[in-house]
Amino acid sequence: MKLYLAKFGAFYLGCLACYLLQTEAHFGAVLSSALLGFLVTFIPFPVAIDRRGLLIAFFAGTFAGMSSPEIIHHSGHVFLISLLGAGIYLLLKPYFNGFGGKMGAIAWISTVLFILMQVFS
Amino acid sequence: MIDLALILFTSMIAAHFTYFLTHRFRVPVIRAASGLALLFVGLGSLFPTVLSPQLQAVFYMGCFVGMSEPSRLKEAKVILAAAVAGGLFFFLRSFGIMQIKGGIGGTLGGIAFLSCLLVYWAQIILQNRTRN
Repeated sequence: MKLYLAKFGAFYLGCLACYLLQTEAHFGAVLSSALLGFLVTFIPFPVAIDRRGLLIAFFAGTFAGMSSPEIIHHSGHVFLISLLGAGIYLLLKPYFNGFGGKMGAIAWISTVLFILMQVFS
Repeated sequence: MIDLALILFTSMIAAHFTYFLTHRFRVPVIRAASGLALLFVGLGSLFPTVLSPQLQAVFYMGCFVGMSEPSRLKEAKVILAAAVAGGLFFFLRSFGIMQIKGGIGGTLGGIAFLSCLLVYWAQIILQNRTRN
């Protein structure tokens, strides 16, 4: 549970920050995600914390945050996508390890699941 | 046709540079990919007619392919996977799939992941065939 919450927090922060940069600061999707991904790698973490895991979850979150405002209307949607994203990340990470684009794939799956949930609810 | 060639070239260059920075200079993988993408976006603001936002997206996608581990894909295979990703991007864009609902987050990474997986599977199938 602790691990899930940590990944969820990182995913949520990445997704929300990218979404806000796009919608409030009117940055492009690529610029928002790349800027956040680049800056976050310079944040020092205590040794006890799994730095790499959190960075990956944060970076994956920024990809989900690249969705158009047509999909993410408000921060509540970011929260739901992050709930899905953190779960999918923990579930699929062992199988996706080592392949480029795994974080994007996780973000894509969680966003598509979110869209499907909206369609069928 | 030039459009496709430009997409393939951009994707392959991005993957090669990311892989090179990560495995030769030990730059952290997220920093390498995002830093290169930032550089490309910066260049795009200087030459907006040549380096369009769409090409910036292709470059970012190529960076994702370049984030592969050598245990899965070696350098040449990564560049091949980037070419496959470029082809998939071109195909999906031509049919308007990239713009469903204004753009689904993670699509670029998803294409990159699928391309890496395809090249990885092809590599395994070829290895098995040569062994038998």
